[in-house]
Amino acid sequence: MRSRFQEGMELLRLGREQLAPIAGEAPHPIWGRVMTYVFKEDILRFESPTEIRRRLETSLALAQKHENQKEIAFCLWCWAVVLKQCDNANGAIPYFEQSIIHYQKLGDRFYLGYLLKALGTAYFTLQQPDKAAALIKQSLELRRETGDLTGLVDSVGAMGWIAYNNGCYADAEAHWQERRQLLRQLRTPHTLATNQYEFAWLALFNYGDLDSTRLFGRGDANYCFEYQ
Amino acid sequence: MRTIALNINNPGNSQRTLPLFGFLEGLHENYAACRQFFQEIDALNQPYFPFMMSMQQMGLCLAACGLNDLPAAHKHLRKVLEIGLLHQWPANVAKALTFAAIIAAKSGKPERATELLALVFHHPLSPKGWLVQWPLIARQRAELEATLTPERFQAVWQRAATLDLLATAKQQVAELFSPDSSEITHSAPPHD
Repeated sequence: MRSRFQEGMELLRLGREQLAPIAGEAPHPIWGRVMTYVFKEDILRFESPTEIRRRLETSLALAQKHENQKEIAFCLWCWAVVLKQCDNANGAIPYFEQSIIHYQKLGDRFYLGYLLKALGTAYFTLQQPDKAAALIKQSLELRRETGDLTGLVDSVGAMGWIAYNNGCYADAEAHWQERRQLLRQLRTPHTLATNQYEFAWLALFNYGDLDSTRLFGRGDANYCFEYQ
Repeated sequence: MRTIALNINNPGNSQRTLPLFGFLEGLHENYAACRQFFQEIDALNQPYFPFMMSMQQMGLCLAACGLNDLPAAHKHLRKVLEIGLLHQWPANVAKALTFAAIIAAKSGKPERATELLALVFHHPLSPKGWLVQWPLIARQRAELEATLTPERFQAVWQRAATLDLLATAKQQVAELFSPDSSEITHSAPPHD
């Protein structure tokens, strides 16, 4: 949230060092989660896929040993994200789907919202737009039901893009306006900046308003620069 | 701002932000700068995502049209049309046909260019704001009118206004794939 990824990674590294089981000892219960945790979207900036896989396999084995469904689901999700980031959406799909099954069994609708959205995006990459849109719509409905505002921002924004690409410009704008309202509700420090990009796109192609495009673009670029 | 955009040390965010500045450069006819922005995006080597790929190819196509680099324009246009048709995205298909119109005009096909231009100016799903902001479009339109004669231009313009967007795009892809892509083919039939 604060874009302090390097510091976050350092804390995780310390956690891994301090909680690492000594030979012959049973691993600390939190060890698996510390091993699993990755900054999903950006992970490949910090670690190699081989290293991530090694950690996730260790963590998954531990979760399976303790029959910890939640951790199993989380490991599978993380590995799916890594595969997708490695441009292997095809390979990621089964892991997303397995993770969804675990979360469904757990009745964890919060994480299901994330998984459905991520799976939908993967299907876009695999050129299956109908399946993708249906999954993202499901994630939107689920997130509305659970009241997960952060997740809802994500799904509403994605639905806006689906509408835009389908030529439903008013519908797209309505989704992005809703996203803007949600971001205001969330009161994140960079609320306005994070919502500039979609409006810049509309200003550029639909309204031909280059000054607004530049203005929104600057807001977005400054946000990306400051919060990287 | 350009420096900031190029120094965002996060590939995902750069991929999102750079195209806006690239397109702005292009619409201001700074085509070399436009191309550079989109080449920077290419160099980010991000995982494939159809919308982003389409946007990047559009930027490169716009730059190539402006720079009169027709082989490159053909290549990028083909990619944008393929993705747009596969996903049935009228917004991007319409944008792509704008580039197709410019390529046709620059390739000595004034009637085809006029048809395509009329289609993107008239079709309800075609985003039109950028068309009036890109000076190359206005110049090309004036040149087409002069080449065809105003009467002929108007006739083609009116006739093509009801062309089917996706059918025309499919036809355009077929032309781009044909061994002799310089051949002019017939227009797609009007939609009901």
